[in-house]
Amino acid sequence: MTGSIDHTVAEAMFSFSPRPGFAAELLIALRRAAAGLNSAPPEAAGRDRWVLASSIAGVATAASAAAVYGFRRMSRRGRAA
Amino acid sequence: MSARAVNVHGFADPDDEVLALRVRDDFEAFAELYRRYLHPLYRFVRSQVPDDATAEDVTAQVFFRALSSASTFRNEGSYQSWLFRIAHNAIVSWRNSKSNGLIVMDHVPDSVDPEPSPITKAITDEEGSLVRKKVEELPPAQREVVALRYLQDFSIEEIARVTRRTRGAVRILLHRARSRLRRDLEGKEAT
Repeated sequence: MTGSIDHTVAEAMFSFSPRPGFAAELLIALRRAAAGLNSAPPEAAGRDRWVLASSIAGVATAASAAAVYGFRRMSRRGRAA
Repeated sequence: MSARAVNVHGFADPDDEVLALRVRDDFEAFAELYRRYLHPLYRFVRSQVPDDATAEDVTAQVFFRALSSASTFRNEGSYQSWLFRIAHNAIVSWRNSKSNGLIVMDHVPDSVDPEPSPITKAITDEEGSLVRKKVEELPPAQREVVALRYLQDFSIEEIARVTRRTRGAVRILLHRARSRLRRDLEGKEAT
């Protein structure tokens, strides 16, 4: 009985899938955010460059990139409406 | 010795944790983790929010946070647990910013046999929609542990780690959710 319910619920939930293009769009946005992290000031050079850049600019960069991503998605939805 | 996955070139694919420690210096390591976890994470997020657009936004937030806070992954647990904890926190933040009202499910196409008969497809679509609706009606805490258990096959301990609950609390939530779903779904089948 329990196994049947588990299988039924799992099967229904596995049907969720992102729309075509979402994966590629998000990866592009993430890559751009990472590139922004790489333009850190000279004192952040070296192995810890990413760590320092992340701590200084990562949150702001990630937040701004996320906002740009969300804006672009909303623009596409607006044009499609 | 446990079996390791190999790629098309015959080399073992790096474990998630090995990749995670390279993210700081190598975006391609992050990109590989992204490819591994995008769909599982999206399914989990989508099961907790009311529509595809919100699921996309929250999923994007999770990966941006995973990228910007890569240095905080200390390899004390699995990368999967670390990532899903970020997702849990993002969902909680989203819930706190929204009022909890009735949730209307969008139609989601099922992954079914490539060529089902029209009758089979109609029945499958209806059953899948019903099950998703019943899951959506669960209280948020129960819905979350159900998703982590059924979608990710997380252990009780992993669910407890992700959701910051005790193992006992997770067991109770899971038991209550299963009981309610069994009652709702088996009651429908009997009619």
